[in-house]
Amino acid sequence: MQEQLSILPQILTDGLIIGFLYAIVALGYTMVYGVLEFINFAHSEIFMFGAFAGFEVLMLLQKLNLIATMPELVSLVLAVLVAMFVAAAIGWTVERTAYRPLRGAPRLVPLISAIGVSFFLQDFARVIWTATRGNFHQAVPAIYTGSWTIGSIQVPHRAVIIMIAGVVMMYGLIWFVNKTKVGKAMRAVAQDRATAGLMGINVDRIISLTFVVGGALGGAAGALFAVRYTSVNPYIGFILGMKAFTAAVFGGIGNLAGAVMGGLLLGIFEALGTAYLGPLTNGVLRGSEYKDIFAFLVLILVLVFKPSGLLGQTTSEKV
Amino acid sequence: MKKLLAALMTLSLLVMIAGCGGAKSGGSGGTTVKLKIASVTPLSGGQSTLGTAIANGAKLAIEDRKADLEAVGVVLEPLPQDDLAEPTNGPTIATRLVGDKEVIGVVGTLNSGVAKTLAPALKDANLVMVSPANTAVILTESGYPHYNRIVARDDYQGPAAARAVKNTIKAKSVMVLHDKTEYGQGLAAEFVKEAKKIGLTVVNGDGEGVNPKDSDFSAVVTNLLNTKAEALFYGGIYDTAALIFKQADEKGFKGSFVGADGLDAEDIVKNSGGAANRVYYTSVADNVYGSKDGAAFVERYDAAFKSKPATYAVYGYDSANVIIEAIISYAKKNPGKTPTRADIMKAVRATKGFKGLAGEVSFDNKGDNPSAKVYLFQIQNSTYPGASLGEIK
Repeated sequence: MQEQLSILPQILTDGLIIGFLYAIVALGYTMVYGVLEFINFAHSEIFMFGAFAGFEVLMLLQKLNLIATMPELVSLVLAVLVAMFVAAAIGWTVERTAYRPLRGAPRLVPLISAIGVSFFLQDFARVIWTATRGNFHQAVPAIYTGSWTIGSIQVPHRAVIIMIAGVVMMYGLIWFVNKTKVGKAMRAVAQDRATAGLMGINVDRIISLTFVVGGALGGAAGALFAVRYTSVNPYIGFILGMKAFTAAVFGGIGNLAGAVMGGLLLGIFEALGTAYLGPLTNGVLRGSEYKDIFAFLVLILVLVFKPSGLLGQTTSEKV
Repeated sequence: MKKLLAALMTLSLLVMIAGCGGAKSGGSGGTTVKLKIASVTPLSGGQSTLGTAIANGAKLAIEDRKADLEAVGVVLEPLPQDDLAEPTNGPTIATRLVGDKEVIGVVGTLNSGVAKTLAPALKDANLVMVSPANTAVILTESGYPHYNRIVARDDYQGPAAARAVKNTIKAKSVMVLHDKTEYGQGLAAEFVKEAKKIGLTVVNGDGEGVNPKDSDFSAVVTNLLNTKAEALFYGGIYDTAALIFKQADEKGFKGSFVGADGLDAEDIVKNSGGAANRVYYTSVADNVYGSKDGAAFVERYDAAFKSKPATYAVYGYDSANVIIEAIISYAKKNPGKTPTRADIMKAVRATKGFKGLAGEVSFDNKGDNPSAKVYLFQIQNSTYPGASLGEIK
């Protein structure tokens, strides 16, 4: 046990790092939900396209031999910006083609449509990258390869980028939604779509914009993922998306700070569970085999005991 | 928008109908006998590198033997099927193959899990299977008359890998992970059994499973570093293996990475970063591409498919050739007659001493290849395929 405890700081760090990744993906889920009360299941695939866009940018920079000569920060920012742009475009297109025609339909209909879009995008990515690069499992050119060692804890530089980006994205989004005029319009649409329309707000435009911003967030998360794990494939969105969705529900869906908090806690739970379930049960249960179960156990517990999540307000059901 | 949707749906329906129609064109006539050899492997998805290699190998075998087949009045066609490496797709594919009367043999599968659902569904049709890759022990222990494989089983490959870790890689302790599939878990279990017998310490009991669709393995890597194991054995396929190896290397793991034939693909080098040159894998073929025939195979493969073959391409090639041999020998004895599936099934099982590219193929009464050997490879200078370190005794 002594030996097991000595790795606790490293495990908490690992958990925090993966938690920030969950958090930035969860932000996209929670934002769309906040406005439309609709879970955009295609968000995980928009994230995946962002990762591929970031990958393509880095590949291009590598081909032009710029990665080695330019400051790493320039490569990173370029990759993230292009990914945000691509993912925002996909987010907009998805809303226009798959959700808007179904706006008056019962709630389950757009949900099914979202799942359909998600499968479509997965296979679409598979087709694109099999055709252009021969294989859709791609290794991303590495930037920020170093790491800091603090005592017994090892923190890769890439992980710190995700943490900084997570905080920036959360505060940026909170500022955008609460302080800008467009944000105010978004909140109005979220509260009452019909009345907002009567007040002169172009509801369709605001909803489109929500998907553009949500897509851009997903794209940035994707590019950061590509940099962090230096490996992309069309299926990276699935598990991460489920976990991020869990994180969003955990923190209180619709609440931006809640999404980040939920992501961090989920990441830490998962890391602790994976590392200590084995020793605690004397090797009967292997932690890594049950890794995904922790996330979904949390989801079930939250839904049973505090359906509104940690920071969510109890709102009247609008179904 | 609605019109567009309607048009799209009509189009997809048409495509589906056309697809069904194409598969059904049956019957044979005249003096030439028209037959098909199907391959069942993942052609898309994370394991497509291996699956496509097998399908291409089978195609190449049919192409190479065209003249021999025509001499005995047989026209043979490949029929590649995509199983996505999902066991649930086995029965569907089986129905399709059994229904197509021209299908006389099946090369496949890549994954033992898929074979477990495909083999029972093909049994009643007497449709012969020759697997270029399945290693799960149970497949040939089920008493199937139609199921054969050219590679060594888990209970041969797993223990061989354990001996290689102790004797060649010279590690004293090892951490064992697997991907919770029929193949990976079976291999890991056999590895652990032998490791305990020869005094190699396994630091995590009987090994533990990871989710092969995950991207983050930091927790398990932290455990690996904490246990101070000198080697990491992974029972599974190259895609997840590469991710785990890379993350372990980045966190400062200095030991060796070991796996079996599931790692035998170019992507293991491309995607495992700094870990690549410490990757060892076992394979049933020794340095195929070093021989003259092997080099010629690589050339023909490259000309036909514009890519470098994974070792599995050779297994696919050999598996198809075993079936082709059976067809030719039947046609020689019964000129002009269409063989039944049972005829070919019996002829394949009777294969003895067939000289394949990867090695000799014979089948015992269970459908195992007693001539299969296991060799150890190490990736060197970040190039694929790895350098052979010789047969594991």
